[in-house]
Amino acid sequence: MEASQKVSLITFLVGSGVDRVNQKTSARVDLKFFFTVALNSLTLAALYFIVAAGFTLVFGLMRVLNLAHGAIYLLGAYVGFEVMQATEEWLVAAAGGAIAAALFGIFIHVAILSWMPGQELRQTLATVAVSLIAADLMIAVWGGLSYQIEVPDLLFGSVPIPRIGKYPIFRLTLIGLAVAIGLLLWLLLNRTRLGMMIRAGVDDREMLAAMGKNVPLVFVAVAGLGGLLAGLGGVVGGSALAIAPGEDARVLLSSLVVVIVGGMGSVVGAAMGAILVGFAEQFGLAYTPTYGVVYTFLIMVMVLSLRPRGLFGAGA
Amino acid sequence: MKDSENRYWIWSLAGVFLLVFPLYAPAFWVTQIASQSFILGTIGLSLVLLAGYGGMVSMAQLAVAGVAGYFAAYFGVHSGASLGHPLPWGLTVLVGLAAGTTFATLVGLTAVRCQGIYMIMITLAIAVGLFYLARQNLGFFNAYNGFHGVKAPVLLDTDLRQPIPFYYLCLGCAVALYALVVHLVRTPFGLALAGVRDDARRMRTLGFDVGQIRVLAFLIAGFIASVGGLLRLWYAGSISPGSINVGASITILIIVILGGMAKPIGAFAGALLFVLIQNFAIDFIDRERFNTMIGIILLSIILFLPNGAVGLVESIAKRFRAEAGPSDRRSETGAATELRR
Amino acid sequence: MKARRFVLSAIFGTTLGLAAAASAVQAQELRVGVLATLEGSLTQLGQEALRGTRLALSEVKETVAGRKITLFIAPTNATPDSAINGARRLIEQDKVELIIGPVSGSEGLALVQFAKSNPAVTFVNGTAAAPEATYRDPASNFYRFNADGVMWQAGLGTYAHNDLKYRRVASLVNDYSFGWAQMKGFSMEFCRAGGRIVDRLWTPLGTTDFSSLIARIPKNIDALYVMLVGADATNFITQYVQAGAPVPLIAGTNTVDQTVLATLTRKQLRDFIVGTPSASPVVDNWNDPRYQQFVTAYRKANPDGLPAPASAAFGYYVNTKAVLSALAEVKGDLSGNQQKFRAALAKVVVEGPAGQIRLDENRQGDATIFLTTVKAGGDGKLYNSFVKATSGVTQTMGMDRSAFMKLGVPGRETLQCP
Repeated sequence: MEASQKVSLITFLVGSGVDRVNQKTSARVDLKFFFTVALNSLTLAALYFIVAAGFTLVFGLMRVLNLAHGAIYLLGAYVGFEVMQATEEWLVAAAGGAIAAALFGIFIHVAILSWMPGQELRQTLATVAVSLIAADLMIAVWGGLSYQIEVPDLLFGSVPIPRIGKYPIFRLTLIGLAVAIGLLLWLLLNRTRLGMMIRAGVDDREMLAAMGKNVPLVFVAVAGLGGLLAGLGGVVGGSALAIAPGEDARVLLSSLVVVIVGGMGSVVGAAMGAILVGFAEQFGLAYTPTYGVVYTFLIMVMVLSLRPRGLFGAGA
Repeated sequence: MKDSENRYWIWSLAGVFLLVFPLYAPAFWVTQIASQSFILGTIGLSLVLLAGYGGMVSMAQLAVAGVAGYFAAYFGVHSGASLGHPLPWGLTVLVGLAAGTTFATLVGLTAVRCQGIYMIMITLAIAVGLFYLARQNLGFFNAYNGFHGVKAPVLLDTDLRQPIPFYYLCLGCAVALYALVVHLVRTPFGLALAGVRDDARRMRTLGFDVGQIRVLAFLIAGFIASVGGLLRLWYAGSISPGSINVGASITILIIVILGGMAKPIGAFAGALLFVLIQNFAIDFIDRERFNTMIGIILLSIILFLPNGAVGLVESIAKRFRAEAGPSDRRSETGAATELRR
Repeated sequence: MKARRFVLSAIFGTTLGLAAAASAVQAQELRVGVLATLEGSLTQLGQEALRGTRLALSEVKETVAGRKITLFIAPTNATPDSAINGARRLIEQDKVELIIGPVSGSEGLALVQFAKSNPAVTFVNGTAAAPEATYRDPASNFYRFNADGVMWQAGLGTYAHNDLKYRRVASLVNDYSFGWAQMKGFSMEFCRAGGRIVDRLWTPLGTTDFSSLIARIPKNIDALYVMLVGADATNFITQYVQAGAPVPLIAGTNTVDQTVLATLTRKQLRDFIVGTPSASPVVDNWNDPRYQQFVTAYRKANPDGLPAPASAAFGYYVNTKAVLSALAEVKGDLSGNQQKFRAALAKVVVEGPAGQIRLDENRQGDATIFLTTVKAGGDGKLYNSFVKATSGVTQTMGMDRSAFMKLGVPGRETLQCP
């Protein structure tokens, strides 16, 4: 093992060992707890998948590490909240948030990123600046308060699940929603012209341009799609969890880990990455609560130190 | 030559000004503006060394400074009587510097094979991971509260935290570390580092241990950041998880972009500019919109200023792509391929 | 390069000019800084805090001894760092002579130490409730007229055990100074009465996802002691009810604070939370005339505010009132390193809404603490309804000081009774 790998492994072992020593409360060994945490992991993974899918497509096709993705998520959430206040219809709010986020994503791409084609580092830094501005402006408009998008009455409350007991309906809905979105994305990527061009572009961008396809337009479409998914994720996250300043950073970091683990440009990879991150986070918090929150980052560090371009990373 | 003569005069004048100014300026300017600029500039200097000369953009430099600060707080004098083991301040400083430098070396070892944006990601993950660790751990980091009432050393009956002594301390450290970096980049190691930045593959075929050079760069940069971390600890008199959160890490990146130069002085210029904007932006816009203002300035620099920050960034970008091989090269619009000394 | 230099010089020049102009205006006005959490999960409390200070100021028409009071507000986000930075800005840029605040416990602890290195400024608390701020390593220029987090739980632990017959509970508390203080205040009485706290769950401020914590709640308990602040409380209650709400709650002061109750608009949440006991320095329907005056004045000044003042408003109100009384007594004279003013402040008797407040030798005030239970009012809103009042609660909770100190500083492990 290389030195870097040894370092990561030792850090991980020490970290979890220290936590086990510190744990005064006994770890649960009952199955009910285990299945509940597993279900929590799946629902969180669902949310991460929705957000990270867009992130990975943008990263994969345009090689842009859009660090403003969290801000796009948050904007979708706030707009969704406002639409919800106005219309009391969750689906309309979801659409509103998603569209607003898509427009923001396209704006970032067209107005800023397309001026620096191919200069990844410069584009990344530009997205950092954009996220600074966007997050601050959102505080200016909505303040520091925490908001929540009201879940429709139909989805509020719990249902009994075998082995687990009562489980919130809305969280289960999340899993269904993520699966639906996954399927739609799969259809888009594999059964449409646009999808074909996107996949081709992820593999070899120059070839795509050489074949005469309107690459800039594809880029805009993907930027919009990435934003759309982020915004939808924002509304969903704003309903299941909360909308507040700081959520953008949290979601962005989780998306980063998901994409590093799952590979750029791969929707299937995003799903797998989301599941890994969701499980690591929830099981970490459930069984080693004090340091569970660090696990996501340990994973990222370990993966990158072992495979410097990500788990499936090919092509710089 | 006229140019170097001019330079000599400029540096001399600047030197005299820096030495004399605290004797006449109000404490606010000496401490809040000048000393703080030196401190942030020192931490920024470590990033300039890594990114400008080594082609490695590390988001963990502030975390390194934080580790040094936490160790110095734990092993130093502070208000929380039950936590920590106060040592004589000479030892405290040594422990802080050693801890920070060691941590930086570990970061370097972990991140050594990562390039470009992946280097950003792994160092960001380390920095955020450390933040959460510090916030959750009670036994050493004192969790959410951190350390307060931290006292700067008292040397020869002088409390080093008084405005004027502290200023000279920060000035001295900044000048010494600046000289270190300027000297370093002209040594064989510095040249090798630049070689690694420009074309690591070629360096490898020439027989250089690229990994070792990179880790050594992290170590040296870590030492620089650790000094900055100790100064920061004494400046604030406290350290808590909030001091090492994502925002603080991004501030160092902002400073280096603002300073805009591939030269070590850029870190200090950027720090001064940042501190001035932070303190005087209220005269132009709502104080609370400081982040918007900085973000816009940053974006403008990234978008429009052809040299400086962009030149730095472009040349780094070109460097890290050099590792990937010819089939992945893309054309770039007019990048300066050489960094001026 | 040139552009940068030009901008720099322009900034310099304008600032010097403005600073010169500004310094001329300073003489007559009294510059008071206020720290409030206006970002992050405690934003509701920060807004409420400002309402408290403004209410006290409006009583004297923002003027004391002929000097007009100008407020400078520095927003924080409940982290110690943000409080210190805010205070530093207030002192150095806004040149305030006093600072009122902060809101949150950990901020308060940091500010006390900061106060020691700023002896020229007087620091008066807002509503920060970590006990150690005044009894362990206090600052001679820091004054707290409101009660601390341990005091705020007076009566609750005993009530939960003896009256509500809860024998086994678990706790879910925010993992920072204030949470530890509330936990200590509750467990002091609950454990002493014979109850058992079988598990302690801690969660950082700003938690949005409570699913793993809810999963960890032990099964065979009578109730769950929950102390979460601000948005965390709202999020938790929402997710807890959605998960089936296995056991009733015993609420720490902030969990069923008006800042939280006002956000529970959904019927299922309201139905669940009714009947939850708590203890607090404020209560929403006490028929004491002086207290009612306070509530009425608050409602009149804040038609868009909460149905009744929350503890954050109360804390900032009494602290600001103390400052104003002391200032009036010394006729606004802050000269001589504020010595006369500070002497007056240490001795002032504040006519608070819930009774008189006096400082002890550590400049910590005493208080009346109310035992409450959540009820739905006729107007459809939720209220903390009066059950009992305990007056004269001191920082040592009625114990001998050395015995109290032996209990230890609040922490994750203090006062266990598993």
